[in-house]
Amino acid sequence: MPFIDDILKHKSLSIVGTEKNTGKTVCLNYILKRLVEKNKIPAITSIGIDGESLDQVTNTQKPEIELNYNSIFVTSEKHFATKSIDAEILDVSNRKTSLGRLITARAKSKGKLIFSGPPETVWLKEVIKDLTLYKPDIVLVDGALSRKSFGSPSVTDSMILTTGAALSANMQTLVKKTAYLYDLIKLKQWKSDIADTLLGIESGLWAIDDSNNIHDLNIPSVFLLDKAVDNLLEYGNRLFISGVINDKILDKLRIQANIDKTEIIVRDFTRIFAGQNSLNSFLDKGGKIKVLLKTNLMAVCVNPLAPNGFLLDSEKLRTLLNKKLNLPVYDIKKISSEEL
Amino acid sequence: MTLKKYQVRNFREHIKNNKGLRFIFDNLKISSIPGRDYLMECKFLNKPFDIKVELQYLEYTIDFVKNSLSNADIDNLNLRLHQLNSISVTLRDLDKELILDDIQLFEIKKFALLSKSISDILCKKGFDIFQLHDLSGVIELLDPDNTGEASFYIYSSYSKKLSELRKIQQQTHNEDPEKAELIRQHCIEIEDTIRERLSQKLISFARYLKINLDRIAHLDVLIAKSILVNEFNLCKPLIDDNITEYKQVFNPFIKSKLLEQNKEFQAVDISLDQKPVLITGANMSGKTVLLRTLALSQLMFQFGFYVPSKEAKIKIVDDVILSIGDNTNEYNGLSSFAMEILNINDIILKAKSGKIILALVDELARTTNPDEGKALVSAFVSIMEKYKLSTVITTHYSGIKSDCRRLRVKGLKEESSSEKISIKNINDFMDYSLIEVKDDTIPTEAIRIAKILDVDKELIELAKSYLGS
Repeated sequence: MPFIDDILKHKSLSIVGTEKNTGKTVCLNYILKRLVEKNKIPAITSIGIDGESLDQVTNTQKPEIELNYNSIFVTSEKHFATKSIDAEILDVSNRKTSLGRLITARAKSKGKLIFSGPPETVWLKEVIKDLTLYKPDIVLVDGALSRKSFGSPSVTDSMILTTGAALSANMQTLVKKTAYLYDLIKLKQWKSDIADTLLGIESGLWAIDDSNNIHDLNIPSVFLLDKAVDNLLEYGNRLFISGVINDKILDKLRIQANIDKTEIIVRDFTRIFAGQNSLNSFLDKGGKIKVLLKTNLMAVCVNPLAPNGFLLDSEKLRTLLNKKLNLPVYDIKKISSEEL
Repeated sequence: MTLKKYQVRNFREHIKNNKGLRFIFDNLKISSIPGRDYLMECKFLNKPFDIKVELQYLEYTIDFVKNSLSNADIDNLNLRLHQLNSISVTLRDLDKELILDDIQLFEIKKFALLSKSISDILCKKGFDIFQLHDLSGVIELLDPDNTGEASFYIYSSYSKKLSELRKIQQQTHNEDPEKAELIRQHCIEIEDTIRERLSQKLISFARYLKINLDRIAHLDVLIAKSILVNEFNLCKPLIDDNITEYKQVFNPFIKSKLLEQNKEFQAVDISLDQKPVLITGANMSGKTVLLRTLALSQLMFQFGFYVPSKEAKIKIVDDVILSIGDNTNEYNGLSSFAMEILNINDIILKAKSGKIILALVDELARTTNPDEGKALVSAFVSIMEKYKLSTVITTHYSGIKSDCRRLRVKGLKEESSSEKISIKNINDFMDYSLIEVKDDTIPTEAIRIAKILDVDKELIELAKSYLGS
């Protein structure tokens, strides 16, 4: 029964997949099952509207999450209506997501449910805080690694990353890609009084001067950089990029004179869509990237089976990843079957 | 142009067009969503009785908040108001005798519990302008286990059969999922009949739920209004049948902006009777601000607020029309002159249809040639005089001969020498108060103001020489 005791040391945990079908739901269900055995009560929500019962990318069945009696959960009105579980409603949000208001409830039977949650970070933070009012032993967040999602899985204290053959059928590539993500997760946090203000900003590029004043650079996103590169460093060398960062902006900043004083701040590691080469060149020249939200990666879970049926050697994969990341690596399906 | 069907606009529509009122709204500390909705839907009050009652409620609330409530009581009340959900959709469904779902039943239960605890606080403190209905019948119905908690589902205690089936369903959940699913379907059928029964029983409470929601929302708005009175130093206006008269009227938005720069807003006295008022004064002497302030104050009065002045007597109107010439989006594609004339036409048509209007027009016909402009102003003033409407018009034109009252902003103080004045401190040298004048000449300070603005010297000198010739 690995890592459950470690998990319980944290107030909140997100489970994030590097790709669809890397076993995120299996992992979440496993954790929930173990918590039941320890008589622990979880509170669960999700980021955004990820939860469709059919995975829309691969058309494979997306399993619902199995909840036990007394678990607390948050989901949207739409998914609350399709639940196959008895639940006592505890709260209804005033704000609406595209799937309706968010319902907070307590399970009154065992049963299944599809999760959806707040589509943006500040709201997600509030939901996690409100969930702690019901005194759960831990808050779990079904996370997402999507550039479309405004919700950040890094709002939780800790994180489990799931990876597997769905990300790449080539074991070396898989390890390399996962290790790169881990590098991003380890990026340093930018601590400031204005961090919460920045989290509330949903679009655009912003300059932060030495007195922490925020200036709108009137550039909606890094994809529209061409017109305005001159103004980029108008207020100093610190930039906050509310959306994603890509190769283009890193390459552009790298060739500027004061690259060693340049600091880019992003919401969290999921906002970095730059390739490894661009990022490394940028960092090598002295550029810095910091995140507003940083989380503690506790373990990596692997699913050696790709949706097309291709199977990697589980043990070899775990050994390689463990050596590269220096983190516990588990194959949940294997553990589950061994424990049975 | 024909007159559109006359409709009284509500608060929501008014804040869209009036930045001053928007500022008031932004500073209102309304705790609940129903409270916010209540204010947004408030009609522009034009009956003396309605305004009188709302102002009396507000006066009572100010006293109640100040003398009967402790800070802890206020926090308690705000906490409960803050938890209120907007349940008007649910109440509408209940009214239509539809079957409510669990979320709606939850909303009603939570509301009934909050309503009870708000009522308890108010009763204990002797609040007596309105009472909340007793909803303990609703609570009994939706809280069969008597937990007093604001949560809801179809409790097993509603039905013995349901309770038994649920137990069996849970036992078979792991062993025989198919059987468990069948039992679950059976449970759902029973739950549905319970929802139907609950919904039917709730119908008789629908009226009281609605009344309580309205009253609590109203209370929330009254408390917010009463806090605003202290924050902005507002005064209780008296209703007058004939005239509008302000002592020391001020604009809360501009006052707060000036305060940020450590500057003071100079409040002024003004009275309006049935004669149109023509206001003249130098540029930058606050004529436009005065019009905005009069519009804002009238709106606040007729939405049941206290008003930004030291004393006020106000005549009730059917509508306030403010023509400043900056609402370009409304008549797209028209020149500023065309826009303005259509605005004026609107005022005239309303006046002719017997509506009582407060018409506030800034520099009428300034964008056309002065000869015709002057003629248009004179004509407009004459019509307003004929229909005896409260009208305030600012102008830079001299020689308006129509029958009207004339006020002049005092303007730059006598002793002030131009050298010391700049765009930054002009506020200190301007006397914004109004004086009654008899003649139709106008102050000539345009070149002096231009000089203060530190513009190109050649322009100033040439202008002076043209003026001399």
